Amino acid sequence: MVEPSQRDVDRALNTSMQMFERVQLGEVSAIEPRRPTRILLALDGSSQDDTSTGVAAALAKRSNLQVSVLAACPDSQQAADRAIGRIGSGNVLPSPGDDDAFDQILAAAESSQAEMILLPCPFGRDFEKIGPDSAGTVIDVLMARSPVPLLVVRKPHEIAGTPFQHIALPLVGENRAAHDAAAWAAGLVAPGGRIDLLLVLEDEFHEHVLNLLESIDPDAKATPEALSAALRKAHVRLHRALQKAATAGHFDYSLRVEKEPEATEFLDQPLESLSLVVGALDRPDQLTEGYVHHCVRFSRQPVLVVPYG
Amino acid sequence: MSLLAEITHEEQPGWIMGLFALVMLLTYVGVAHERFHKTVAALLGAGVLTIMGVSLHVFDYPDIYEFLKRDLNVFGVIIGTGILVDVTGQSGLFHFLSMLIVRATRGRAALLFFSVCALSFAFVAVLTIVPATLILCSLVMVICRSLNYSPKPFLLAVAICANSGAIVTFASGLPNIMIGTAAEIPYVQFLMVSAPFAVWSLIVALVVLRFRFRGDLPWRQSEDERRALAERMAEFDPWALVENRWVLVRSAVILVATVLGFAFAQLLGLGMDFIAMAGGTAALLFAGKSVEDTINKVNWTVILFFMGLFLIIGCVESTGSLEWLARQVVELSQGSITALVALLSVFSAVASSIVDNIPVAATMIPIVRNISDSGLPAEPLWWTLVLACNLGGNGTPIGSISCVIALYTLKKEAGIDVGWVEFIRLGGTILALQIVFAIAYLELMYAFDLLPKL
Repeated sequence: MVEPSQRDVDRALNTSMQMFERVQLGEVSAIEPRRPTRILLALDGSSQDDTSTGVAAALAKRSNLQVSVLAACPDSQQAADRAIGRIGSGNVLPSPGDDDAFDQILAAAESSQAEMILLPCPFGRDFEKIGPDSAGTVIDVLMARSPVPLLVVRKPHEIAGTPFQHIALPLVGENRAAHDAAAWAAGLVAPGGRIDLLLVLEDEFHEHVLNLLESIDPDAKATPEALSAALRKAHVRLHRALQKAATAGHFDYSLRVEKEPEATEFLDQPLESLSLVVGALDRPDQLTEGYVHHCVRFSRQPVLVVPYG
Repeated sequence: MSLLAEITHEEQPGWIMGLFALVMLLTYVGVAHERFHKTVAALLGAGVLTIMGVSLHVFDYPDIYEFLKRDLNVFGVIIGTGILVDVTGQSGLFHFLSMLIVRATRGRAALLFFSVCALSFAFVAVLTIVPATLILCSLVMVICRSLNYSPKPFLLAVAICANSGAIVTFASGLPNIMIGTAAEIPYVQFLMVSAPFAVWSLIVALVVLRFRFRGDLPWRQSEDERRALAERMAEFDPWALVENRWVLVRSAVILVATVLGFAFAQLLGLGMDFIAMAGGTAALLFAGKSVEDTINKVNWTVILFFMGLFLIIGCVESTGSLEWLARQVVELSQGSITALVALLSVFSAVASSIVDNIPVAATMIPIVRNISDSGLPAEPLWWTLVLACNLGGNGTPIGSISCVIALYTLKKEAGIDVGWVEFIRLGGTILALQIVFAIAYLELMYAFDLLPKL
C-alpha cells in the first residue's frame, strides 16, 4: 500500500485524537428551553412596527404569553392600539413622559416584569435614513444595559410563514452568554424546526492568535483546522446539551464550524430559510460584543440578543 | 477477460527479458526502500522501461495506452471509493461507531482488547486500511491514556487484525480490487470465499496476540477495578461526535447503497468502477461547498503509483518474460495445483511483507493468468493471491500500511519503539500460521469443488 506522508499521518492522527479527546466530557444535562411568559413590545410608530407586532402575535399564538405594549414615541399610540387588536390580548402601558426612549423601555420592562423586550431597530428612526451602519442610540443603550433579552426586528419585512422555524446561534470564541442564548433558542424554535449552532472562525481572531503564537514560538502554526478543533472543544458541552434538548424537544439540531466568510454567507439566507439569529452578548468581552452588534446591524432576520453581565 | 490477456506476446531474446526484469526488480527495491518515494520510484521505472521498450523495438509507443487501458476500471474504483470514504469519514460516522462500541466494553481490558481487534477488522473491511487504521490508532491512544493501559498490545493488534479485515471484500483493499478486476470475481463470490477465511485468520491472530500479551494487560480485573473503569469510560459521550444527525444517516445510507451496488453489479450488468463512481458522485452531491476539498483529497499519489506500476508490468509482459516465468512455475510444480497454491502463497506472502503487496499483486496477476492459460484451473490461484498478498503485511513492520501507522503512533505518542526482531517474532508467527491455514483452506475448497467458477 502506498503510504501517506508522515505529515498527513500526523495531521490525521491529531485530528482524530482531538475528536475522541473532546468527547470525554462526563455527564451533560440537556439545555432547559426558556420561553417567555411576559414580554414588552416597544413601538416607535415606524413602518417596522407591523413586523414587531406580527412577531409578538406569532409568539402569543404559540404559548400563553402576556404582552405589554409601550408606545415609546409620540407617533406610536395608534400603533399600540392596533397591536393589541392584532395580538388579541395584552395591555398598553402608559408612556412615562419625556424620558429618553431607552429609559422608558427599561422602566416599562421592569414594571411589567417582562422577560424579553421586542422592538424595532433602529428605534424611533427611519431605517432607510440611517442605513445598515448604525443600529441607533436606543438599541445601543439597551444592548449595554438591558437585563433581559432583546428581540430586535431590523427591517420592515413581512414575517415568514412559520416564525422561528430555523434559528441560527452564531458564536465567536468562548462566551458566557452562550448557554442562556441556547436556552432561549431552544425555547423559541418552532415545533419541528431547526437550530444551527454556528461556531465562527473569525478572521481577525485567527490573525490575533497566529500573531500571539508566533511571538512566543516562531515555528508555531495555528491553522484554521486547529482553531476549528479548539472551537469545537470549547463548545462541546453546549453542543451536547443542545443535542439532548433537540431530542427532548423534537426539533432538528446541527453543529457547524465555519470560517467567517462562509458563516456570513450562511447567516445571509433569506427570511424564509433562516428566521431568527440569536446573539450571545457577553458584555465585557469586546470580541463577542462586536460580533453581536454586527449581527444586529447587518442581519436580514430578527435578532434575539441574550445578554450576560 | 482483459484486453491484454488476449494479446500473445512475442518472446524476446533472453537478455532483453532479463534486462527488463532487472529494471523491474530495481524499481521494486526503490519502492521498498524508504529513501525513495514509492510513486517516484514506480514512475521512474515506468519511464526507463518505456524508453527501453521503444528503442529495443519490443513494442511501439502507442502500446503503452493499451497497458493502461486494461486497468482503467481500477482507477475508477480507487477514485470513487476514495471520495466516498472521505465524505463518510468527515461525517464522523466511524468515529461515532467506534466510540459507541468501545464505551460498551466499560473499559474492561479483555473486552476492550477484543473489541478493538474486531473494530479494526470490520472498519478495514468497509473503509479500507488507511482511514480505518488512523481512526483505531487514535482511539486506542485516547482510551489507553484515560484508563492507564499500555497502548502497545492494542496498537499491535490493530496493525495485525487490519490485514485480516483487508481480505473481506472486493473493495477492502487495493490488491483485492486489482486481483478481483483481473479475475473478474463478482463481489458476492469474493465475499463468499474471502470473508470466512478472513474471520478464521482473525481468530488465529487473536489467539497468538492474546498469548503474546498475556502479561501486558490486566486480563482479569476485580469488581472495584471494573467499577472505576466503568466510571471513567462513562465520561466519554460518543453522541457528542455527531454534529449533524442527517449527515451521519445520509453517509451511512450512501455507503450501504454502494456496498449493495457492488453486490448486485454483475446482475445489473455494471462494473465495480461504475458503482464506486456512482457512490462517490452521490457523496459529492451532498458535500455542499466541500466538493473541491473532497476531490482534492482523492489520492493522486496512489493513482500515479498505479499508473507507473501498470506501465512497468505492461512493458515487462511485452518481452514475454512473465509467460516464461509462468511456464517455469508450472514445470516446478509439475502441474500440481496443490504445489502451485503452496508455492504462490509462500512467495506472495514473503514478497508482500518485504516489498509492498501492490507491486507483488500487479506482478503476479499476469503470471497467474498465464498459468491458467496453460490449462490449469485459475480459481485456487486467484484466491491464493488475494489471501497471501494481504496477509503478507503481517510479516514485517513495513509489510503493510497498518503496521507502519500503528508502529509510528506507538513511537510518537507513547515513545515505545518496536524493533524488527520483536515485530517479526509476533507478526511472522501469525503470518506463518495464517498462510498454513490459507493453503489448507484453499486446497480443501478446491478439493471439494467449493470455489465458485470464474
